[in-house]
Amino acid sequence: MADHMSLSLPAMAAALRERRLSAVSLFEESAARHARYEALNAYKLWSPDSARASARAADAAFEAGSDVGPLQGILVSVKDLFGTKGQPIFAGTRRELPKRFQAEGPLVRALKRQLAVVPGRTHTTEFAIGEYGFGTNTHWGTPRNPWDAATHRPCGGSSSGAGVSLHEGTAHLAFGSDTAGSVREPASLTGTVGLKVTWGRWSLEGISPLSPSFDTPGLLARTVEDLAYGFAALDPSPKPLAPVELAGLRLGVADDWFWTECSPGIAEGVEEALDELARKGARLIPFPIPEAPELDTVFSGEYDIMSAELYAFLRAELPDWIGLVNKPNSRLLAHVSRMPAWEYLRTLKQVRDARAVVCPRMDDIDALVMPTVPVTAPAVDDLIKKGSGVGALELRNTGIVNLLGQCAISMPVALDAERMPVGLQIVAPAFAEERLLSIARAVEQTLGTARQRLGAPPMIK
Amino acid sequence: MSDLIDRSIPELAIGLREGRIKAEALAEEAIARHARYGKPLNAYKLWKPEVAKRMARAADALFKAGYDLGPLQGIPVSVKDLYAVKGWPTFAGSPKRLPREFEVEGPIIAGLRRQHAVFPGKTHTVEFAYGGIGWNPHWGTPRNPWDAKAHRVPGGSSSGAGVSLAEGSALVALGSDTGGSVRVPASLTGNVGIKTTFGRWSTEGISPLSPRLDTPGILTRSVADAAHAFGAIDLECAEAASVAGLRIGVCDKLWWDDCSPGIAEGVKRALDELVKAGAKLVKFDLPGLKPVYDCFRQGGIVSVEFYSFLQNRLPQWIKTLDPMVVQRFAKARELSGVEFVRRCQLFDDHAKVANERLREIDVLVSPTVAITPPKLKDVSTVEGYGPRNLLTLRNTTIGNLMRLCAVTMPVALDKARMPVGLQLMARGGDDARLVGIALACERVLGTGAKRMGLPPMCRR
Repeated sequence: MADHMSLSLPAMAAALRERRLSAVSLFEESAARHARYEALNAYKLWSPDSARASARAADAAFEAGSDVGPLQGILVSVKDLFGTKGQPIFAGTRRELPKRFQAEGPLVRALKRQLAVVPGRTHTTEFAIGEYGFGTNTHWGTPRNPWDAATHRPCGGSSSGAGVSLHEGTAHLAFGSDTAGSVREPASLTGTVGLKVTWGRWSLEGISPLSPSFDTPGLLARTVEDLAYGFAALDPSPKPLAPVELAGLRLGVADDWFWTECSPGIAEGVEEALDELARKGARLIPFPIPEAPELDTVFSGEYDIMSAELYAFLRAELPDWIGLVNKPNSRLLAHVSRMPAWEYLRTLKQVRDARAVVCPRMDDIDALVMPTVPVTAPAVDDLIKKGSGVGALELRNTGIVNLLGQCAISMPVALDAERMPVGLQIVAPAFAEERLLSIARAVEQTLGTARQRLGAPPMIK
Repeated sequence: MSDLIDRSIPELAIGLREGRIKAEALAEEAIARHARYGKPLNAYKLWKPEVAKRMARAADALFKAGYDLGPLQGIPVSVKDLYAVKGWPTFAGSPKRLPREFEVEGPIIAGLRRQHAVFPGKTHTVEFAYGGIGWNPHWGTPRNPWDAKAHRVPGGSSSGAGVSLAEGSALVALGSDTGGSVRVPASLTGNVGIKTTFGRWSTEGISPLSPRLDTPGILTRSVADAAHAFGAIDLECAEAASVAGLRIGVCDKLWWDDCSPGIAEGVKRALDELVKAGAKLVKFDLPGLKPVYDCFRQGGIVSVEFYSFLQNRLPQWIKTLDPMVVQRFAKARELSGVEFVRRCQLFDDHAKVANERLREIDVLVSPTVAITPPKLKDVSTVEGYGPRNLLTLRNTTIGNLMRLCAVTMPVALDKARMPVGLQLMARGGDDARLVGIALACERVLGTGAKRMGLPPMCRR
């Protein structure tokens, strides 16, 4: 099997432009890999015909000397929450959503304009919300994490097929969305890199909503280098990434609350990575966030705002779907319907107040660091048997970033005691994506890429 | 009595800069007017003549030294008692002074200070700005100067704002508008009011009612004054448009229903005059009008945001609330978060469509307020107050819910010889263009003073 899929995106883009590589042959490689790894179940919809047609168009444009954007000929998988014209959208639910949800927003339009190739739509949890946790979906099956060949473990959610699509080698970039961790958790659990942009930086148009107060689009890639390439291609006004020196870089280490109850090997793996950075001159500065436990109740307390906003959306736009949601989500919605409006507003105010207090303190550091997901994902069967909804622990470290309105990256730095990937979460202030990417790039240059540090997943050869 | 204060602000601004007019003299006139007319009208919660004189002297000293710090330097500006002014208590119409954090000035007051405008005092407001009638049982309801016999209401919630202009103690009045609280008192007292687009001017330093709808605004006696003051606060300047060819949208639904005698007629007469000057009347249906208004009538979102604000920040103020306010709370307490979010989405969705459709015309018009300002005795009971309050706010609140900007200008007297306002509405963000259109209309129609004369209780 030819292996152009392992090229970095900048190298791939150069090869395409020099006509050493064609978009069609790239896609055929992708299709072959899809056939080989279909059991991982990354895709809700695999669409080879339209992808091949886009690849041909990209090649024809190259042939004609037209370079219409950095993503021309590049494979990008799209989460089944984004509208793509002419393709059914399920948003992880049992039934296809009405046609109006196929309308494309600015992000998908940017892909089409640049003649990127969309090989398919990746799985998501139902309406991107909890279910049994960690990316489970009982309607369409839970994508399989390629890091465990023996047991079916989940890939993290809600963008549950995104990370797997990168591992299969069927896509170079994956579109996800993140309300409390839905890009970073799958990135962390599958050993890929995930960026959650600041709320308001990228348009949410054309994405089925979960919680408009906190929803953000996001991007997954195999390396920080690829991610930076994708970001620059998609952002409406990207600034160039300035080089960052690790020496003297002030990394705020989140306080103990973010490190407690970690599964074996997770805190250790992240600490070891931080020590390596410290040896290169990075300064590790204790960074207390005493407001965090209280703020965490916004998502994990009696009523959570995410489900309240989802329910309001369903009542207005998709009333027929309320009776179709799976059991844990149905319980969640029934419960949150009792949340009083003044309580909803109090919670939003609590979020605003916390932002006003915590965010200015970030001025004293360059970035905040912590483990992305504190716990190892259990086997899918165990999750469903236990029947629990979202475990508070699962989204503890990522949800807080959405609440504080910041941007963050998760990048793989270790394997835990069960030999599953461990993510380091790097958090930067609102709208500081370029700075965040620069820092992550410096970290990757020191620690190595996922492939270099963690090797390949046992199920991918 | 000298008549400096009766001149237009643009004219005064030139005189101040040429040294022919002193800000102190202007302030003294404002103080004298208040002494003469103020007592029965009760515009002010806090009257500060000495402070005003000091501020005016500072403005004069600056002019003399060659400093021109902004268009409102030396101009008396009354401030609604919802705005924080350093060193002055904020009551927000409630019986008790609010905590000190409500006295931290926001950008509008800070900006006016930097320009050395003159603050004669703080005007009355409906308790926490929740109501369109102007009623306040704690501090008295300011009196509408257009009826010398009966105490009629001045409109609210910026209830002292229009009255301060009528008596001549201020040339600009700061107000705030959540459902009509600038436009209603402007219309009922025969003044001009601008409600800015949501988000255009900061509401920081203004006690909130409904943060999803609250907008600051200004009242003045003429559109020419309003354009001058708008340019002093905004980043854009309003330039007079032309009436010739102006596409005026008229929606025959809702806005014209249930008008008191003389109101629809007065507005239509003004429109006829504009047509004679070359404007075109276009039939225009504002999409979403009915569902948005129905949702507002169900309780909308203001009561919920207001209840939440009190519950979370001023719980001690709940038990002393005016019964007229409390009666609107019961439903707010019960409403679910899910239903609240759904209503917000409904408003936002319709607002998007409406703003798009408004591109087809230059301006949308209606009577500002459908009914004659009620007599105080008719709104002193819950039964009398409720329906009149709703009707008073009906025509203006659509602008807030639909995320528009709006201006009201006086065009007539109704059958009861009370002022009638013409409301002009435009797409959100088109504030400067809208003020320019109002300016053009005023040049055709004449100012309120020209068309209606002076209020009987403020005759010179």
